Amino acid sequence: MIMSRPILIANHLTKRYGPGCPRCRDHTGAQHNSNQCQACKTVIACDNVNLRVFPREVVGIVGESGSGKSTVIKLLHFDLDADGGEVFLEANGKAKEFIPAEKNVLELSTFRKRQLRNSVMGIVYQHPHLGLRMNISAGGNIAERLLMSGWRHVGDMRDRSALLLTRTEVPVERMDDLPRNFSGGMQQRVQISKALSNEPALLLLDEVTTGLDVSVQARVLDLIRRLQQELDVATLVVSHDLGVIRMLTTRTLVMKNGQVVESGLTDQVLEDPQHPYTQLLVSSALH
Amino acid sequence: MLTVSNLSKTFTIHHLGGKQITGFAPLSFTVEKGKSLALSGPSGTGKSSILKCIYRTYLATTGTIEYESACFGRVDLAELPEPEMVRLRQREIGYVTQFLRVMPRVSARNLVAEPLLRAGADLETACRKAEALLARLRIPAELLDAYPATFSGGEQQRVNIARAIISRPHLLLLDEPTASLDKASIEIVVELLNELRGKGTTMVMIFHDPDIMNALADVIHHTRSAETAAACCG
Repeated sequence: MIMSRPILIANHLTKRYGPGCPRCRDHTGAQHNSNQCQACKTVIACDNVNLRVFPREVVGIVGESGSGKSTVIKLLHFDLDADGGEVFLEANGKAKEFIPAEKNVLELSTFRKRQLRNSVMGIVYQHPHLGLRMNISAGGNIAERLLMSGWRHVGDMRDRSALLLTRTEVPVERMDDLPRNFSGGMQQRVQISKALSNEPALLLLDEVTTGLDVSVQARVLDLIRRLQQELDVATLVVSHDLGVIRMLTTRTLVMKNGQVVESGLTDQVLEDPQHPYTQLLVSSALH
Repeated sequence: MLTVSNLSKTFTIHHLGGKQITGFAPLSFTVEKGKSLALSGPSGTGKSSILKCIYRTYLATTGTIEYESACFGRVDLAELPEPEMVRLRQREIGYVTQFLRVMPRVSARNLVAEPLLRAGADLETACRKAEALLARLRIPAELLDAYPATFSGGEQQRVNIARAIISRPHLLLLDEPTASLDKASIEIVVELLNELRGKGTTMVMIFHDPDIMNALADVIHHTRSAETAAACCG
């Protein structure tokens, strides 16, 4: 059997805030416990990150605040511009028409990036206000996303929105309400509906359950797991919570001070951690 | 089917200043297809760690684990890329311990049906097979929709065993899966495992009870503590 090609390949992904200098690498990273260069004061948010996601696979990135894990997701989603590295995406459906194969998508024009994002990716942010317009109805938020990926018929978009909201356990009768008036858990479920509306090939989840109380967190995680099984979408999960990582992912990367310090099968990373930081992280978990 | 050569495991504990702790000293064994090998030896000789290395929950420190895979041909499980290892876990290699560590809030039926669903079975068939297997393991029908986290130790172990054997793995790793079962349940488990063996499943197992071990094992491999191994082999 030949394994399928990765849907996402990221090589040497790098993001820095500041001018950068030849000595940055000598001052930053896990072994220096810092991501700021002493010489030029540049902050290295993520440094030389390599990553692969295969079809239907769920990959986790775990690390403490400031480790650069969310930066990786934002670079992949083109929310931030990378300072180095390359990203290859296996385009699906419509995106194949305008994304040449073997093209480093970081080099695409802003317009093409937006097109690619709308047809291939879905993202759920920790803060619902980043993913939703709070003063447009829940249904309208989803319809907006559908419009961007080429839908035109109003009735169809409404039906699709209702279906998605039902799937994510948002009462359809609240479809015309503003997300501003929703609870935190429900806002996350609307975000998930929106992220899945274009049937993405790659789903990006950035700390989606952080800040929710445990029973709401459990329902959101169960929902993600169920959708994962139904839709077979490749997913990148960023979380500081080892419980979330254990529950959702099969492979995990551990980040510290902008660098990947360890990666492996999730149960191996949790039971036989190699790097000092991962050992500390695993032994710090409450259960 | 499975050839373990010079396999060893050493843990490096960084918060103890990089202290080295031996999991198990280098060992080698071979299991033919459809045969079963029991690891036998005192506690602390690394039997469970050996199984975890084969399953890649632990990274081997030295040695190779040659495995005849239906998907990929002959591979070294110590070195196999992770996505391939994930595939093998889904399709070929089962692992069951005495502890049920599964998804919270998933019913017993769905938990056991899941491996079949992943392998492409339809929902109805998978659920029917799961129910039949759980019935055979004498899990009451009224528990099928309940969450196994609330089950008794013995019931959890039987759900655990059902989940591990339902998809008839080619290689099954068993780590004391009957530790808290009564005699009648153990007999059923032994019967199920022997049926699997009859259908070609290769097994590496740990059972402290000599009766169970003798009923299931074709070969017994004795494990030794690191000190004993060092003393007799230099």
